[in-house]
Amino acid sequence: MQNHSTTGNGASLRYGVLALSATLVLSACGSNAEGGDGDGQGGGTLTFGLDSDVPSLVTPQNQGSASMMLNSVLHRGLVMYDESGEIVPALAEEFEDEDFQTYTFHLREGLTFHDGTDLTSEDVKATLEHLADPDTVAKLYPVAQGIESIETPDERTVIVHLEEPDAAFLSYLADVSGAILPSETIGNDGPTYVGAGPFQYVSYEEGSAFVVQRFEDYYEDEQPHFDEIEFQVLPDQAARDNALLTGSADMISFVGWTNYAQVEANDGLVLDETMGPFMYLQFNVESDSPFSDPRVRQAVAYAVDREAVVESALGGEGAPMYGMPVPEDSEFYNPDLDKWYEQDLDRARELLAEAGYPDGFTARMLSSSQYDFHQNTALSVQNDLEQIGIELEMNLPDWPTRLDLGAEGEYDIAVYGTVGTTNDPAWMDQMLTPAGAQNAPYGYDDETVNDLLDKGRRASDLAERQEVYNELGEYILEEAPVIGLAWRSQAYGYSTELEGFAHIPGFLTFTSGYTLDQAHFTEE
Amino acid sequence: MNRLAAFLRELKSPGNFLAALFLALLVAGALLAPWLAPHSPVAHGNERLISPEADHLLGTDQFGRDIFSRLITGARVDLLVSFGAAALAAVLGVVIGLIGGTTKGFPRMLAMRGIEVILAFPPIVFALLVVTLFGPGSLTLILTMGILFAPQFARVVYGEVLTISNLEYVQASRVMGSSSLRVLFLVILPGALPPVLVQLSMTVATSMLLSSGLSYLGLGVVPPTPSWGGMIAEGQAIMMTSPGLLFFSSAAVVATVLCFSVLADALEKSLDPRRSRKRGAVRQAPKATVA
Repeated sequence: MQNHSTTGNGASLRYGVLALSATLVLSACGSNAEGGDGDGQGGGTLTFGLDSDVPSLVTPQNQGSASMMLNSVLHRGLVMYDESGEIVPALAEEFEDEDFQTYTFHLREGLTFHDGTDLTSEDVKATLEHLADPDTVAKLYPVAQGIESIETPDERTVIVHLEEPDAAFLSYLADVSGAILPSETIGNDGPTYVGAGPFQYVSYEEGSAFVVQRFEDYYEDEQPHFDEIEFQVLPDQAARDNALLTGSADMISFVGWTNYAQVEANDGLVLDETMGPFMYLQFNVESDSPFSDPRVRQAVAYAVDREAVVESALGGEGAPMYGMPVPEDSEFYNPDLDKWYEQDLDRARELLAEAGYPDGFTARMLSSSQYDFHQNTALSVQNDLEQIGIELEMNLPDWPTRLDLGAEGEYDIAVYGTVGTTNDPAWMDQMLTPAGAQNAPYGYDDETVNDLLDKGRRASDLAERQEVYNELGEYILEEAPVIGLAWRSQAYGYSTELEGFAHIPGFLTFTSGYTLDQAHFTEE
Repeated sequence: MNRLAAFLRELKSPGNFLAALFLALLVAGALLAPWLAPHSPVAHGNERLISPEADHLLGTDQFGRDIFSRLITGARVDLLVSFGAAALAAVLGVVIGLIGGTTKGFPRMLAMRGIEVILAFPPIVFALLVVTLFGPGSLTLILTMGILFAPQFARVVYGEVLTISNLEYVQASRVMGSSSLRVLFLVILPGALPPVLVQLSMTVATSMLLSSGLSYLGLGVVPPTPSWGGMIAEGQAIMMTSPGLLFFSSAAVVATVLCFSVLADALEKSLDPRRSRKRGAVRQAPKATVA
């Protein structure tokens, strides 16, 4: 018996082993998503391959790019962005300000939420107060907390008084997380599906699909054109790209870099890319970290090969960042601050020696294995720093753990990627002050930086603001609490039959869903 | 010696021979990797993602690292981990099995119910737990998988011991006054070892697969140290444009696991007492020696 049992056991084990190894290989090949093709004239269903699941949508919070897409079709705020990134009226048909301190919004007539209730100035007031509540953990909290009082003289007028002038107030309100919510739902648990956007919620199946349908009472009479949008949750890169390539999705977010060429070569598909997000290094500047000395941080800035990061981590689809993260088409762009650090290993070694580390040292690097470009950026930097004697011990946990460790300062040097909340440099408080939590270098709380950021917000004149941000840029590049590595290309891929969608450029890439209210299939 | 001869005879079949040859080359390659590797397995280069050529036998990856050098260097880690885990599992399993098979009452219950607790864990989940608690690395992998795979050995040994201890020669030894330890280690254990050997070669294959899987998930060997699972993960990201990395690393895992399975099969045949007599002899129906 024992021999028999061993034989049977061995055989089944062996086949199990083979089956497993086949799975290991096959899992790399991805799979096709299923789903209907939404071709039609006017109307029709848009099938959209979304990069991540959003188990519980909380509109005011920063829940990542996929939630921004859902918010942009379900919701509208007082103002929004048009296809070129200009701030345009949304729920407010007109707005004006006095010295960037008092903002007056006139709401459109006859606005309703998806549930049929009227949208009035009271809802606006309740929403803005909700954003200013620290317990909400709102993405717009940094601006909302500067609200002194809100007046609602009538149902369609809202007057917001700020404590200090804030030139960036409107660009923040235009973010999808600034959507106006029905006052009676505010503070309720559960997802925030009811809004005043062009589409209303139909169904959600965790890990699978999120469906919205045309909202008949949307404030733009003729819009939206689609009857329905079906968001298929396709977090796997290969599966998502395949869904687009095989036509089972009309559109996808986050086309994988390695598939750019394939999408471009396909006559039926459009690759719509922008340089928006970027990768950077953050340092733990607490006194027990070797990186508390700015010279050591500068040495790193001189040592990294940014071209190599673009080539090895971003598949060549990006651009090296030698200076400040300000897009070239921004009115705050300064060419002098754009080319600051170039690779210069001798200079880097000199700086290290000056700082008292002629033979280098060992430090802890934090990144994540969940996103290959995060891990590969870390590996590329590790190789560069080895050449100036800095040995990096890698810690590459999953993404949520990486965020926790980052917020707790469990690193000496870390790789991170982000995107500006607005095109206005005021967003940099999220990268340079403790308000940014894991986005900011641990322990960095610099008075000069904080003052300059405040000044930049308060200054009302563009020239004055430019000057402030130039000063900030120069200071940051010298201090180097963070070091820019590379702009990352971000692309939507969609069928050539889709018209009216626009990729809002630069930092605003993730708000591009705003333009889906004008999108439709070509009519033949 | 009979068994060794039988095993060598099994190797005469082409499939078994190829498997043995491949594994011998692999082990030699892994041992000599520092001298054999034409390039440093971790140094970045400027020739990224090139196809196989004279200087880079299997091409390069996205960092310009030589894939061939990384594969044979990665084999060191993968083989060390899988052999280490299998050996640890065998030692633990044999001890537990002996305790279970030769004692009664509480110790037996503790040993045999204990392994059932381990068996109840899905291997990947258990590995995830340990790696999350103690951090990734080769040693963690060996310990985790050593514990995970011990129950299979314990069961095999337990069954063998129960059967063997009732056989005449064991009883004879007892009657002649051998101490119980002597009976256990010098009389019973040798008889129980052949199936353990087969289990061992199976376990090497299984642990290689699991360790690749864990490295693939980013829980095994820490990059930039090469490991096959890690290379598969890196290769997956770029498979559309440069399938080479994914192909070669996956092929290495599949081939190695396959060869170990084939050899385990050969080993099992050669150790089977019913076959160790004349080949072609009429097989007797196996006696039901119930464990």
